[in-house]
Amino acid sequence: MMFVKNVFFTIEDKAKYPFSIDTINYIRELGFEINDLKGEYGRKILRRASKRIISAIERRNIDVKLNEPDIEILSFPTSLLLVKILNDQFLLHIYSIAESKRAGNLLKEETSEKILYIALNTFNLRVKLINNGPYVFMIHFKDYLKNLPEIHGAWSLVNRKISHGMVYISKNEMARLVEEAIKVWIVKKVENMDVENDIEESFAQINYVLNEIRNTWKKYREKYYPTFSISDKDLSTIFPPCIAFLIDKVKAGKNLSHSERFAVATFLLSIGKSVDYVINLFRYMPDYNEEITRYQVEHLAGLRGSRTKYVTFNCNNMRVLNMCKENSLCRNIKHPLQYYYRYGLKKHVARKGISKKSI
Amino acid sequence: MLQGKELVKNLFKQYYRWNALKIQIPDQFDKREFGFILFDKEEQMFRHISFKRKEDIFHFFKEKYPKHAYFSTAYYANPEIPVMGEKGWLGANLVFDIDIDHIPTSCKNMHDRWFCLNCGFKGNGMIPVKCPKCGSERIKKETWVCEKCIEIAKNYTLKLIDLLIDIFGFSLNEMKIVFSGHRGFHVHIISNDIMELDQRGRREIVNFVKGEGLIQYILDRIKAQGVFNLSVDMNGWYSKLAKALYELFLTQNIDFLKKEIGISKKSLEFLKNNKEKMLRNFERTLTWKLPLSFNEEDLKRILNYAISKNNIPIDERVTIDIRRLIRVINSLHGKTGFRVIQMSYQDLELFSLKKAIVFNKPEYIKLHWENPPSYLLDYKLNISNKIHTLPFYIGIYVIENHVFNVEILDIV
Repeated sequence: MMFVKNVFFTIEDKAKYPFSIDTINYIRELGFEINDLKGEYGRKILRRASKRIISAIERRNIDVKLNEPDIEILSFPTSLLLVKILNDQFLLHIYSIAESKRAGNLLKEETSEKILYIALNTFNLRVKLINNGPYVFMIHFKDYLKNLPEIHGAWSLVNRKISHGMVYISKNEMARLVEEAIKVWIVKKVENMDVENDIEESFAQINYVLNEIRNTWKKYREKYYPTFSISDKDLSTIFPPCIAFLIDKVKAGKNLSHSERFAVATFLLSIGKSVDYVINLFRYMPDYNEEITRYQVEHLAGLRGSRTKYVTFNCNNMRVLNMCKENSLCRNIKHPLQYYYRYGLKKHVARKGISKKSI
Repeated sequence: MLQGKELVKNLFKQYYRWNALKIQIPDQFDKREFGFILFDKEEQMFRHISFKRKEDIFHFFKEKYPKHAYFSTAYYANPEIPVMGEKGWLGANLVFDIDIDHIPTSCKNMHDRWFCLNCGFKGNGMIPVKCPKCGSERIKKETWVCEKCIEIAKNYTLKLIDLLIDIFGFSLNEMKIVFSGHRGFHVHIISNDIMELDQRGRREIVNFVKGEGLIQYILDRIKAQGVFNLSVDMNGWYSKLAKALYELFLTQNIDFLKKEIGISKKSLEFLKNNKEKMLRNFERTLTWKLPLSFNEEDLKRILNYAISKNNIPIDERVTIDIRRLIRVINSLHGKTGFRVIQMSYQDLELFSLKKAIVFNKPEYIKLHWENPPSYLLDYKLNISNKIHTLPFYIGIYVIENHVFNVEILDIV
């Protein structure tokens, strides 16, 4: 543990930042186990854990309760357990954002020293406190890039003061970077968690709160993630394999790389899908951000910036970018769009009995 | 032509028979993918090759004397698996490529030319992406490298290395500076700091080096606030831009602004009347209050010019690609017969193409060659001649690089 002058990590701090290494050590010392959730105290913890998740779903935010710090502390790993059992990428996404926002808002109110303490000890970020005018911290560019909340405007590296590998940032920006690190931490933690299969059956208490959460989630899931209108059958028959693969990947709730996003978006726009259609698809990605996505997709559609309408990579470039998924129909195809016009469109028309114009 | 190919093939074979042990084995070579292009099978690249022992690599070069040899900048759990997604990506070096092909230079008029396969239009100098007459991308090109090009690429590479040290904090110990064997230089950074950096992160580094995203940000701020104060005491790039604008307005006349930057009549008129006042104002405040009465298009043009004075034209695809293949150090480049060599920063400052010459034999190669470029490598050709007697290494370069008819007559 790195010592930071003037920082005392109190029990309230442990409750405010339950992912911190201090809190994790504290929980370990308490010796609280899953079976303890069956008791009276455990029920209180479960209730708070369920509240955390439901609040994340309904209000996209989680409040802070410090009157019983131990409950607040123990409810956090319990929430992670519940999210794990519910096994839904989108729920995990929404929950991790809400938790990280909760902590991020608290962090902004803390002293710079305390932010430094958490950044150093919990996230091993290479950070220095410099207190130099608007620049309160400097952070190594690798840690900066890894935790970037946005990729354009003031956050992009080209617009920053950077020297000898260190990026100069304000206190609020530091809090925002840690917020991002918390989000990633939660997602990783849940993904790597081992849970026994029958845990829900053997725990009536857990089963109860899980059903509570499921009922709420059912109401909101469709709102946040409207069902995407390309059927699996369409995917495999009318789209070229490279694009179908990427759309599949999105629908499975995985993030696409920059060039993968470009390929999918430009392809869909080229065949006449709307900007909203593309945005609705991208909503499935864990790092989805409405504002950034809309900006980028509109840019590709030629509605912003240089007003150039972009076209998907040709097959050569797809190959160079390792995105080519060549199949037997790809012979003599030089561009993904060509595949769509040669094979896809015909099948689509034949099956649906509609004219080309209406697609 | 067949004769020429046989000649080069035998030279490579002989070279590797005695020099295979000089091949520089990359770190963690057993986690890297290798790729080769072999003589007689030049249309195909043999990829997904991995080696478990160093001796196997030396042996391969000795036995196969590849025309081109590459290794992956990435490390994989299973580099031999032919499906990229299943190799198990573990990380990648950060690599920069400065290739004179992408940089306009004045010497290109002497040695580069192109021909549109669609409409027959042709020209000298920088190869266009599209035919300026018919817009076709089917362009046949003939490009050569000369000492002048390499000098320019070298200076950009030095500038890049300075930036990597000053801005990103890398040390020379973490860098490999490499002559690519043809038109430029590679800089490999082998450091745990960047090993796991994703494409998005690498794109940010590229944008910094190229100065991309600056103009959009400035325009956005102007739209939001009406003004953007560009001052010398701002962050890295902005300070450079402020200084570059001062230099531009101070040293260049109106004619230059019109011809080279292409700003509009209205802006020229404004500059004519207000330039002195603007300069005095800047000297006092060290700040430009953008947009300075320029319209958006003119402001973009002026800023683009200021950026071009400070950016480094790296090939961004190489840096962003986290599965790139790059040339093996100390292998031979099949298009030139030059050696891919690693060097120190000091050696780079003194670098000339001569240092990469391998086939420096006392014989001359006599060629039948119509319409050659007037200058290539360090050699001037008489373009009115059809028969040329060239130093051996130049002859090899011509045989390997030439795309139109050239015929070996004799070796004397």
